[in-house]
Amino acid sequence: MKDVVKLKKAEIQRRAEVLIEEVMRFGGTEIKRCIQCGSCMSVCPVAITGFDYPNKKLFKLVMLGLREEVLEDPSPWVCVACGRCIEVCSQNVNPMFIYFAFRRIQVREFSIPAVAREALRLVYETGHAIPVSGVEKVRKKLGLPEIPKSTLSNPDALREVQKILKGTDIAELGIVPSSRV
Amino acid sequence: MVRAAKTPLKFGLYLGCRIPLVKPELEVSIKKVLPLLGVRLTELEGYSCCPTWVSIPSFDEEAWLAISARNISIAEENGVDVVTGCSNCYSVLNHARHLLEDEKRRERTNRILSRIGRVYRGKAKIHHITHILSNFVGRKKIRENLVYPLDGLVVAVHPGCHMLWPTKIMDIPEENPFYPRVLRDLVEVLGGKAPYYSRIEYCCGAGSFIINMDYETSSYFVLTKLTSIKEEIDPDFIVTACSSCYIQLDEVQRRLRKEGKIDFEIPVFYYTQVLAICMGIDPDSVVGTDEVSKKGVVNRIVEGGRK
Repeated sequence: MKDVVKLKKAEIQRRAEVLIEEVMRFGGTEIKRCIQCGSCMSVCPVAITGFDYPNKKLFKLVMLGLREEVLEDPSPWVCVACGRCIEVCSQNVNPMFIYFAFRRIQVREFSIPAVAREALRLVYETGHAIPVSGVEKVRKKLGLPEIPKSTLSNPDALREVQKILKGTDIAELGIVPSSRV
Repeated sequence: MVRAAKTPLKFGLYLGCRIPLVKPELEVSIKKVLPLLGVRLTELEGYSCCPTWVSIPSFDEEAWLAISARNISIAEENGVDVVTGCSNCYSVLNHARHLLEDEKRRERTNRILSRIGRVYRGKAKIHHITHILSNFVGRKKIRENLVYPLDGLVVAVHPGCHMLWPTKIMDIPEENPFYPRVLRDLVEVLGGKAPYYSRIEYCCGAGSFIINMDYETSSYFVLTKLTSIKEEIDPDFIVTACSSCYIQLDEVQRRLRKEGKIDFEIPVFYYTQVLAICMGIDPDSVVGTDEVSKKGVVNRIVEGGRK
């Protein structure tokens, strides 16, 4: 059984404000505009999947300041970034970016899904999010250059990508090296 | 509607990751078809991942915008707009462009880019390959180049989410993305039938994460989609404009068949593959080894006879 802690109204409000501010800082800038109408949920693939917190539900938790509830919940990661919610939202909440704000909050608490960690590592090491595995032969057979003209065949270009990443917040997570002092 | 330009059409080809590294035959189809239709392509050399939603955008906005802006800056250097065949790239880059209209974000991003001697000006537009075909090349030009028309073959069109929403970030949006027209029109130009079906804009379930987190749920999307397609229009094949949907609809379909959840197969094509075949390009060079064989359909198109 969960421990029951009674919080004063002022404390609940304070937590909500802190969480709303945090979500806004990480890209969910318009969350305060949500009126809980549910339009976003009516078109959202995440709602079809049956994960616990499709958008409007997630936003309600934010507005109630329930940070712990969603800190390890996978729902924000199920979003396919399809943008339907942005299209239908009458209040310009940009709901999709609240999912993304939550991902960004979760990774800073080191709740990082393996797929995301791997994708980030690959982009840092190769410039691409998926590994090159035996495609060279197929490409040659098709008459294409064995390696695409991307960072894969251009070390200077790859260094540019790495330099960018090393100087951002991402470097604080221990997945890619940091150049910050 | 954008008018077809009088000056020669020139675009920067941004290939992304999946097309060159998983389905290079799609790259071949794009590179063969567009020049034949009068579009000059410059490859954006030294580009990186857009970066895809699963990766950097899920971690940090600042880093995302910097990597996207770097990619777009390569097009700007070449004085071209971008064309991509990957809907994920199309969506990530257009969202980045939209966010970078904000002065503060642009300044911050350019401060990062200055470390690598680059600058983002926000000049280059990001188009999807279907937009180039429908709005710049135009139907007339495509029709003139047809060798093997589809002769009334029935096609289930699957545009894919990222090409459709949100319209506010796109230069060439659908009139009503919930009833998409662009890809249907492009199939009809080839002589095929592209009827509406109720789940035409339904998600394929690949997305950035569902497929990796929960196969059951992910395959449910494909099952729902395929059942709807089969029952409502019973097509000869499926045409999509998204390289991720292309892989998902093909691979999961085969698994569903093996699991006994469906008792039929519908071959899946990427739009420029079909276009290439219809234009008389050797089918073997644009069709790879996918799960659901395309052979029957390819033969039917080619044997349908020359115009």
